[in-house]
Amino acid sequence: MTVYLAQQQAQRIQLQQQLEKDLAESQADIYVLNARELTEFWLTVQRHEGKSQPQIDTLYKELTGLNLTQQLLVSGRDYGAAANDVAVIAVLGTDLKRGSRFFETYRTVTQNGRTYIIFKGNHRARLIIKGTRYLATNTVMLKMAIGSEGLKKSAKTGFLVSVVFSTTLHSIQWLFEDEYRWTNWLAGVSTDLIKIAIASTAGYLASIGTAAIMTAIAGATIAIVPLAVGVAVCIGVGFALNAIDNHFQITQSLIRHLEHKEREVKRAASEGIYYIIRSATESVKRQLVRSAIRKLNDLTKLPFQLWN
Amino acid sequence: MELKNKAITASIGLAGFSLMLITLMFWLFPLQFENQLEAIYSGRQLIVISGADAYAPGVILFLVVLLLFSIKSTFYLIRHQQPSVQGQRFVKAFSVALLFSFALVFLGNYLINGYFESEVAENGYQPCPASALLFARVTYSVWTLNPALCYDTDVRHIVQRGGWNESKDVEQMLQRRKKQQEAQRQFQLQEEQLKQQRAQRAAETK
Repeated sequence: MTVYLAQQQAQRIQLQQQLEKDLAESQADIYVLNARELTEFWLTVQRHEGKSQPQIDTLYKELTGLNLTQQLLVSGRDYGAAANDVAVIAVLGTDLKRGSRFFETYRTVTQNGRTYIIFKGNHRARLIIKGTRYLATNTVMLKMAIGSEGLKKSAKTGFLVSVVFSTTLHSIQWLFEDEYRWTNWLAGVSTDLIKIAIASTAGYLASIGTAAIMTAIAGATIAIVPLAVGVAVCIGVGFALNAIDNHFQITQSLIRHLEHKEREVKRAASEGIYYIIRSATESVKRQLVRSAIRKLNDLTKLPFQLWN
Repeated sequence: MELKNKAITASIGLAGFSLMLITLMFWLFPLQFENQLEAIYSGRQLIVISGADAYAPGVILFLVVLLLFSIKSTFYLIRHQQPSVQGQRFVKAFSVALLFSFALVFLGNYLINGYFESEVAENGYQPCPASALLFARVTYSVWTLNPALCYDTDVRHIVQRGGWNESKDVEQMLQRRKKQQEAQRQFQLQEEQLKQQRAQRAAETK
């Protein structure tokens, strides 16, 4: 029994790890590296593969025809020759691309006289970049959320931003405006939250639906299209809900209902307090009358009683 | 096969949803637009303009493209078994159309809001500062013929959500206030006349 439970536990942990890995892989990291950074990347890869420094130097010279130390010094001072940069990027890019170890394809661009390599890195590239201090601090990395998990993340972030934004604005208005009562705050925040929740869910569902359709038809999806669909649907649903709210006066009715309830509670409370005070007064009055009569009876010593 | 079935379900669902939202927006957009135009040309002292309404035409166009995409996708998925080069071309063409209409959503919003603002300004309205009224409603802007109304306590009490009726309520309140002021003025005038008459009688008896 214990063995079975341990196996179950191990299987669950394995599935959880697999799921985390899948989720991590459904995001694409786009890297923009210059010649110096790409050289650092290539060097780290060589070190990870267990090569010694002389072996790395020789390999670098074989590939690029340049001296590694000299090249690092020159490009590190930001005056590397443009021709050298292009050669280094082309050769090292092709070497790293071999066997799709870190990326499948890359592009080179020249901006302000400097050449950069742009590629969509896989999880191995992410490990190399994050594991190297120089690359982790210098590399320009654009995180592109692709896949349902990325879309869910975007929807959640959008939802949270809207919730915080709406609640903060309503709270500030409540604090600084005498005319804005708690009833306005409660009705405003609650209807806004409902609208945000409905619009975000609709946007999220529309975007994952679009991504699924595109993947089934073309085998891949263009990341920006499902996002655009999500945003447009969110705006559309938000507009519709707002117009319905205005047309049927939903928030205003809620405010009126809350104010009516407040008045009822106040009336009930005041009636309760009045009842307590009245009962207490009557009880005290009765006690006073009784004690006064008792005193009178004692004083006159009459056999008859005036009260009770 | 499972992926394809899911995609067919998604495309049918997306088509249904787009159709429903288009219908809803075709019903609501003219109502909102009419209210906006009515407010601009009403001559009322204070009006509320919603900047978010200007997204609607662009969103309707976007939804029409999305509806076409989902309908065509459904038929395409039923006819074809595997992802293909033809499919890539189809997705690319619709992606361009969707992104183009997505850009039009924002362009339309900018143009329509610009038109509304110029019309409102032409009718003599001035914008209230954003912090004065409807602070929590960021897509709404309040315009007035009398800037003092932006800080009026009664107006602040009425204008809370930016609904189409609030502007009318403000107008009614201002008319009531005008009548009250008129009545007060009449009363003070009568009081003054009575005082003068009393003073005259007192002078005559002396």
